Amino acid sequence: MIINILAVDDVEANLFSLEALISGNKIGNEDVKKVNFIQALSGQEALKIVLETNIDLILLDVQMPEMDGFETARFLKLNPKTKDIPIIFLTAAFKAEEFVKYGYEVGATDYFTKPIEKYQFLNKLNLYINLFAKTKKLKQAFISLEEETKKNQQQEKAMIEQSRLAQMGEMISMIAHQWRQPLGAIASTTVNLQMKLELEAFDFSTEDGIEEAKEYFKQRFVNIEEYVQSLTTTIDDFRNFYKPNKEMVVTTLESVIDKALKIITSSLEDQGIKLICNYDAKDTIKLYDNEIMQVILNILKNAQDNFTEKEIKNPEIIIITNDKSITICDNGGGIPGDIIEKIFDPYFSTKDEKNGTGLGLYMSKTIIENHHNGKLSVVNKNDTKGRSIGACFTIEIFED
Amino acid sequence: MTTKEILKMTNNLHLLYIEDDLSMRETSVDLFKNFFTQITTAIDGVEGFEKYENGSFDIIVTDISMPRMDGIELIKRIRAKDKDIPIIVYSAWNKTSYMTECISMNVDGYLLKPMQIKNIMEVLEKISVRLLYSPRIGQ
Repeated sequence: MIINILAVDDVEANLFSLEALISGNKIGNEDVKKVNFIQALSGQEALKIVLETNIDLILLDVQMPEMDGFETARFLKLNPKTKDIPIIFLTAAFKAEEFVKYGYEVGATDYFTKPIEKYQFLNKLNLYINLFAKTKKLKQAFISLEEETKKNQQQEKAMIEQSRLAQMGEMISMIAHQWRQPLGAIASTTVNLQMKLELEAFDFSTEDGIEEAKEYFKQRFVNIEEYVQSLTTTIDDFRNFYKPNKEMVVTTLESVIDKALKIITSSLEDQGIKLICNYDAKDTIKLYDNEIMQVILNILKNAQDNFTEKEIKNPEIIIITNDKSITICDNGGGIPGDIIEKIFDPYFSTKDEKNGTGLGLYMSKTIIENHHNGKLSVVNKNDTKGRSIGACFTIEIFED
Repeated sequence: MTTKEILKMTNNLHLLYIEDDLSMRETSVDLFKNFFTQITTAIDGVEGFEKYENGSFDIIVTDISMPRMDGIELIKRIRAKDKDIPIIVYSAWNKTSYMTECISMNVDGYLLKPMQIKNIMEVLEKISVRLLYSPRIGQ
């Protein structure tokens, strides 16, 4: 770093000899690359320079015309930008005790009287320079620490946003699955009714024909209404899921799992995935239900994606609740030993870029372990020969 | 062909329709009744193939994603026994890989869920024309 020393004296010769003194000085601090010697011939000039340049130390003559050293010091102390710059008074005339005292009062760090004792002065100067260097270094470290913290916070925020978007994408695909059948049924029904009219299937010239048509159409409209109702219910389920949980709710693990299953079941069924639920936790529990749903959905979705990727025959997911825990096991072959330690890390994903953000399990762990007093863990389930059958995720919630 | 001409062709055909979803099956049968007088349904590939082997059908309409045995496997098995029987896939396309498999198995038409009237008329017309020039009924 560079240390800037400003010397203020109305006598140019004094500045010259001061510069000669300082330039011959060895500092012995490897952080200090250079000491700049800046000169000012009056208090006014000095005040101008300190506003334009970052000055680390001011060597100030007391006796100067117009604005003397004491006055200059007072001005420097008034300005918040310059009030912390240390000042060393150098004077030949103002040696008396009261001046020295006054000098300290207006904010001097040190007070030297001429003739200056060379080694003592340089030694002091070096002391100050070393002190500035250390302070500066500390300040820089502090600033970079602050920047780092800010960067981390932004990254965390971006991560949450990213995982939310990814999950919304998954949700839309789950809605599409759930809507497929009722939409298909509505479409078949309306095409059927159009065909009936086009084929003149009913004889509108007779009372009986009209009555028959009325009955037939009415029944189909009732059916359509039911399908529309099921579409609406789906949307309501998803909307409720997206309501942020402001406060914990008292519920059962079973009802949280069921709510999650309502959303994902048709997508699992479409893929022929068998789902076995074994509930043994009847006690109520306090939690952020939508967040826990998010975790359950994340684990189920991972299992589903893995079944597809590995083309697992007879895919099966077992959900077990026990006291205050939920265990979700699949028969998807388990998680390879070399990555099982990493699956909760942010941005770790085994899926390709399009399908995986690498944030799902990281967010899940955050939800269980930071938002709740709980634990999210995973183990591979092995058969008797030690081969991995599948993965088992366990969510534990400890109530405070 | 007019709708009535198409109907004349399809009316004599015995349809085997395979679909796992109940509401989809019921509403589609309702619709297919306009074209076919004889309709047999099955709830998945396994039941579908069983019924195919034990019955006599002129046309197959099948869903793709179903439990136990999916539509692709079912078509493979039927095609192994009969290269010509008209097969229509009636499904929501969620995978392009299915499409290429269907083409390679010589599927005669595709009905997309949700169904559109234009779509079903085109598929049935194509099959009617084919049957008109190479009748297989009674063979």
